[in-house]
Amino acid sequence: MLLVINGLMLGALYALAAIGLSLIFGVMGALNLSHGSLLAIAVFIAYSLYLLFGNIVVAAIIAVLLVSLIGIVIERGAIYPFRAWEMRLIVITIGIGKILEQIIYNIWGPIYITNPIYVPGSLEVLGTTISAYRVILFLLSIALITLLWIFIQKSKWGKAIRAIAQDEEAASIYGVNIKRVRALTFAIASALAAIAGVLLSSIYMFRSASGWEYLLIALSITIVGGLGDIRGAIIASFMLGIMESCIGYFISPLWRTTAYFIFIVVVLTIKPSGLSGLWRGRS
Amino acid sequence: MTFKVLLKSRPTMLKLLTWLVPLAVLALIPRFIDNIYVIHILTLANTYAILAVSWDLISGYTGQVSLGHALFFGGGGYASAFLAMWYGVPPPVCPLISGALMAAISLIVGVPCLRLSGPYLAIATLAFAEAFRSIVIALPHITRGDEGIPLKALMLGTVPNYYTSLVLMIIIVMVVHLIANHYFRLPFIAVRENEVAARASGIDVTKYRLLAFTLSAFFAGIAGSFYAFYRMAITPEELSIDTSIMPLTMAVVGGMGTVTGPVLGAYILVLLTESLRVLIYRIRILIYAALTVAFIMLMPGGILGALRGLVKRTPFSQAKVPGAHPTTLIGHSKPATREAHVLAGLVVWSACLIIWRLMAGI
Repeated sequence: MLLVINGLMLGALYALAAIGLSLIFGVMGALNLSHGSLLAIAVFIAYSLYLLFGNIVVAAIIAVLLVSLIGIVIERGAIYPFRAWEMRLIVITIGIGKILEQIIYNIWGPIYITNPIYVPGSLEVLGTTISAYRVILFLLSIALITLLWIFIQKSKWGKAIRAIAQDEEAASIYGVNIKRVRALTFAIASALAAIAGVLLSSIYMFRSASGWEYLLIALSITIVGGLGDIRGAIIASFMLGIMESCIGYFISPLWRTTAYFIFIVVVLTIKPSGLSGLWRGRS
Repeated sequence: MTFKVLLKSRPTMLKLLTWLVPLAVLALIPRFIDNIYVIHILTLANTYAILAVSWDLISGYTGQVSLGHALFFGGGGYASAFLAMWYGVPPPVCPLISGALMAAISLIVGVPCLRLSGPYLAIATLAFAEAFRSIVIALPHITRGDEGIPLKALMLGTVPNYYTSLVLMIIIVMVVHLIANHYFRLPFIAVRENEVAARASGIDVTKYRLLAFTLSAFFAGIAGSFYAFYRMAITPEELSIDTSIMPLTMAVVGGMGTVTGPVLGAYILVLLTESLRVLIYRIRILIYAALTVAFIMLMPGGILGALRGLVKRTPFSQAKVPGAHPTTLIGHSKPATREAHVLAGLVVWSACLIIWRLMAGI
């Protein structure tokens, strides 16, 4: 039971990280391989701000805002001008990811950090005791995902994002400001990555290269869920979260990446379009 | 056309000269320098040149970016270590067997990914390299974990190793040149420039991509195996993402979609990082990444492409070609003129000589 609850919590946090990646792929057709480094840089910014202010919540919020700004700069400077070249974008974004990682490494050095987001106390759920702050992390992530879902489905901006994902040219003919909506999408995606990072850093240790691990997790989730499909990404992240907590318990946490990879290969072999193929095929 | 006739034509002679002069210089270097450090660095440059050329075969020629060549490089090293340690395979055979093993592994990654168009190969190679690294770290009783496996050297002495690496590099560059620029030139470029059109013309896109990927893994495995024997150790460091970025940077800086470009890039980057080792060692990976981003944004043809553009007296701006196909990595590349070859060769080798002189001075 504890395994499932832990897995759900991890899944919710991974969903936050993966939705950003999926959103960017869905809207812009670009694979943002600097996503993981954005996640890591948020952790380090929050850490420094926490040392400065002494309040982790304020530090985290400022870090998230800063990272979404970085995201907008990356979109405007490096992704928008090259949006037509898919493979060049892969090389550009992985280069940017590496640059961000090295910036972290050169500013903060080779250290491991965690952020002290902590709520004391524990809860009794279905006969097992779990710490309260894990429940809070879970609820917070679920709330954020729901908010994003409502934003994309209901608001005017969300409709613009969906319109661009379907057909960029047609959307611009209908008066959608492509540049602004793309920047907004990237800002949202980076902010989600940053939130995931800040929340994850209260459970796991982070170092400059940790971003790549989470990029890999997010990539596995997006592939399993179907590239660019948010619904699939959410389901896949819960699957992978539970799988990870089971592997961590029964075998060893070191086999995590291997299990992800086997999952990717199996899914690509059976159903190349991932989970999204299940509902897209029917309609 | 017979070989004799070919030799008589001036362009072929010039082309041959631009190939032979640098090779002669490289071959004679140990006779004139007895600075072991310089020769060691050139050996490393040769090894990385093989890796960069092998990366270019899949990514530059057929347009599918591989982000996990560390897998084949480090994997080749580990395969050789196991072969030499457990099965007592004589070391000179090890590189070939490890290369073949890596080619087999590349099929496991390549078959599911290359059937699909899009960025699947990039993701899967990235993930597989990391997965392999985590397996190596997770099984310390077999792989000795982070410490790595020590190997017996292939041969003693810096100079014999240098010549081996040089011969290996020349052979592999020649083979890749024949494969990519002669036998499969048309299908490879067709697949890269426009997949749909290639498929419509009856080219089996998956087959050619898989072929390029397998060969690429084979050569990278050989490079990794030689590297392991030369360094006398193989560690998980060789499987990390930094090692995957390196051939990518070298090929992008030198010029993707060519054979000379990656070799050039390997020499330039290795000599650059080693000659400025004291100043930039801590930020060398930052420099690699920044160079990659800068080159692919501003000069997707790399140094070689820029030189060719210079010779033709037209600004090199492939990115601005109207109607360029969106899926391509480097845009349209035009065949090089012979002057371009001569100039590129001269500039590059004089640059290398200058750097080498500087280093000998230190």
